[in-house]
Amino acid sequence: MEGIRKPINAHLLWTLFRTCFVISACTFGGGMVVISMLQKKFVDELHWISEDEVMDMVAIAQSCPGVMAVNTSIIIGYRIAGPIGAILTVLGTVTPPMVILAIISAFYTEFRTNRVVALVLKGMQAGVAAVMINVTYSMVRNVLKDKKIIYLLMFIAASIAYIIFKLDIIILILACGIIGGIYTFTIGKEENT
Amino acid sequence: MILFDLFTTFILLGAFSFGGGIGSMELIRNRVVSVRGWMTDAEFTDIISISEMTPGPLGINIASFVGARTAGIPGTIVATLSYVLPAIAIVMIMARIYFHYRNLKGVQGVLKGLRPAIAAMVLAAAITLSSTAWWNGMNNISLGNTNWIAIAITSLMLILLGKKKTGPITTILGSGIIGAVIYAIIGYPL
Repeated sequence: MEGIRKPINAHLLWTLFRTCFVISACTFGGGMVVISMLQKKFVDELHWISEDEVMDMVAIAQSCPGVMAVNTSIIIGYRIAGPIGAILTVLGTVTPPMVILAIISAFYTEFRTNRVVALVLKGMQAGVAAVMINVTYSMVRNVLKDKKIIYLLMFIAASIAYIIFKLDIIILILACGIIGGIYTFTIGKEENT
Repeated sequence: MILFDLFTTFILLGAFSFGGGIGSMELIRNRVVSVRGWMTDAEFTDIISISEMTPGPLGINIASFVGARTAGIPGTIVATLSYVLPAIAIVMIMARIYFHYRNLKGVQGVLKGLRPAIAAMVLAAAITLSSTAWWNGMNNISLGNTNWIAIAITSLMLILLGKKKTGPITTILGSGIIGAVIYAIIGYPL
């Protein structure tokens, strides 16, 4: 991956920005949908990166905090044009939602007081609840699927600590990350290799 | 200074957002609603609905909306850019490490350890947002105050999510339409 960067010129940088801008403006749902669009453009059309590289890039993007679609665009920009490329692909990705949400926000108060809108949003609350319950179910099932008691205990302890004892959420994430890291490097080492 | 608060809040959120859009929802809700008090749980639920209906990733949409609601256009720029700033640095560093050592086992171990925490956070978000939908919030839970229509819609959507594998956008849009029709018919007070 190193050293195969393209010569940086205005056209290249503009293509990076524009591609991410268009994909972000036209794609609903984020995540894998955006990634498959990026793959289509940069692998199939422009041939700037190979299919295998995309798999590596997605693995890296998933290992970093933040939004997966944004992380993938960062790594594509970085691969093609270094840090400047990364910054341009990020700006391309975040500008459309920023503009759209700023406009919606400006009209939110009037929008919210409209009776029809208020009724639809009230109905949507029930749908958001359903989506959250459904995701909770599949995540808990995923934790149980590992068949390792430590992860189940961590889930129960984390739930009680956060929901009942109001432990700070950042401390919770740090603690679980550290425990997970220690577990992988000691007891879980053989199983993971 | 609100812009500085948005900056410090969202840079922290960006650095700790693990588990994808829905996985990091509770982290954002915790800081934006519980810690900072920039909006209510009902407004936050609206943002999730609106963000699912508009293009772009959920996390970015939420950062943009919260920023715009609290401090207008400067707010949306500060919140969104602060939210992606940690990722720019971390992704570039990780890319270098990855292409040097060709594996991410250590990191993936840590991430595996985070999965129970993410599941716990999503559970917490599910509890808060369901209470918002069914009782208008955690503080109003009582039998007389129960919104049975909302519970019925949530149950119907859970069946569709499980059996028909409907996506989140369809689910939320569907409940919006069904809910609006029923609430309009019965004259639901808002």
